[in-house]
Amino acid sequence: MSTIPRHLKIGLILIVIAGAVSFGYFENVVGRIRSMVREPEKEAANPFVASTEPLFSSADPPLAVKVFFPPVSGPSILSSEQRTIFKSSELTNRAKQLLKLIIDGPVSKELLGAIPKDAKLQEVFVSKDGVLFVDFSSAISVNHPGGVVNEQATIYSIVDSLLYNLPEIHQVKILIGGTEQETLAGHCLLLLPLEMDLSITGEEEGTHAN
Amino acid sequence: MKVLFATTAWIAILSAGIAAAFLLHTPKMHAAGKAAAASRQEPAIPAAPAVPAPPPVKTVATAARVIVIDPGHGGIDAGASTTGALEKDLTLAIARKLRTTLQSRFGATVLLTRDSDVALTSEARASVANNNRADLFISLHVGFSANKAELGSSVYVIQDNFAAAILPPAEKTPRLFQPWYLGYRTNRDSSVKAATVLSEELGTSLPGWSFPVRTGPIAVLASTIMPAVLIEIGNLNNPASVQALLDDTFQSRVGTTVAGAIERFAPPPQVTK
Repeated sequence: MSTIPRHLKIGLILIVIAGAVSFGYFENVVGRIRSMVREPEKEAANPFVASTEPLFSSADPPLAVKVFFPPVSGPSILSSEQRTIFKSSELTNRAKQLLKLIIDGPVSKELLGAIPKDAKLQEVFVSKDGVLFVDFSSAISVNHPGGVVNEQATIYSIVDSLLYNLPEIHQVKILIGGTEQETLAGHCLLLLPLEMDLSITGEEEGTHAN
Repeated sequence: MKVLFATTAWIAILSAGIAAAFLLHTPKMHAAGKAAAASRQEPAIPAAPAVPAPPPVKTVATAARVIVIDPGHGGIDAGASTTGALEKDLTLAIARKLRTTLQSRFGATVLLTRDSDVALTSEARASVANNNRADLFISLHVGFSANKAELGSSVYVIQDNFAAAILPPAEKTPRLFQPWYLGYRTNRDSSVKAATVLSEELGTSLPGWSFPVRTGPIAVLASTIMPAVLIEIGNLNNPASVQALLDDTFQSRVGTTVAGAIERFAPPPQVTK
């Protein structure tokens, strides 16, 4: 081997490298074609896929909740009314029941709806550190009539109703159309998760359901 | 054999990758990368629009030498609206009148975050005040309430302890370098004082109107490092309120009242002649 000229050695090495690269490329292409032809394998469970379980079952006990809405008049930004949901074992299912009550609006004539027309709940997620992510359709922002007090009423109707009745969570983060938005209607910052603020409700500070 | 092929292929691919990285790392490529990165950057924060030079200082009636006024909304973001009135136009009209009043009364440097119909983010608005070392920041908005009977006005300051939860427990006390959204902490007490005086003055000057002090997670007040308030004036769902907001005299009165309030909560420094 020592008699082989240096330039031939280099040429040989380059041919080996080129061959190896070609082989690797060929393997890659063949693998891709095989994977396209093959039956798709069963994917691992996605933690963000919505639960297929119903929000509640008839066997679930009733749970009294306090839901916050803007009052027709008065100095407070929010007032509350007593409602009932089913005590589902899953936290997100209880959250969805509460959010449905908020979207459907109050029973009392002294209160007003807080959620703009056509706004829909897209999904609810909960993180391990107790932050509940609530994703609304873009109508909650697009159809919002504006005003700081009005925007605060919309946001805290959601935040306070969830945090007051679900002691397992500490903060609520509102998403719009599946993404973070700076504000809902140009005033209140939504880039950070929000905590319960009962000072705008006229309710006693620090109280919690359950 | 297959293992041998696979190993050889991996070595070859690795070598080819290193060679390619070496060959492609030319100054030209580097420059192109920089250009691409620059194009991905956030749009530059707009500087404060040019304003007419203030008249010569006649009196020193306030310690607030640089005041930034923020007309809410703008551009594609019209804010609240009703027939014949958009929040973005009303806030700009009131802001311009307030600027004139503050310049002539105090000789202060008064900057508007926008002096035309353009959209700005909350961070860009706060940056105008922070970058110009303002002594006071006032954001102007117009409200909208479902209750047509309400005149609906407020003076807002940032929520107490807003975003404090983003700090680890050991860092709840003030520190030299604070996260962006905690800028408000440097002057929150002064903001509350300013809001209280503004609430009193506006409530007195505009009979029938009330301006309660409220707190909230107001985006434009989170990262401003000087006394900062947001004034929400009127309810665009209330006909009397709309009529007043469109009236020049009412707009000017709001301006003179705010100026009077500034004299109260930011009195001039004691000057010896």
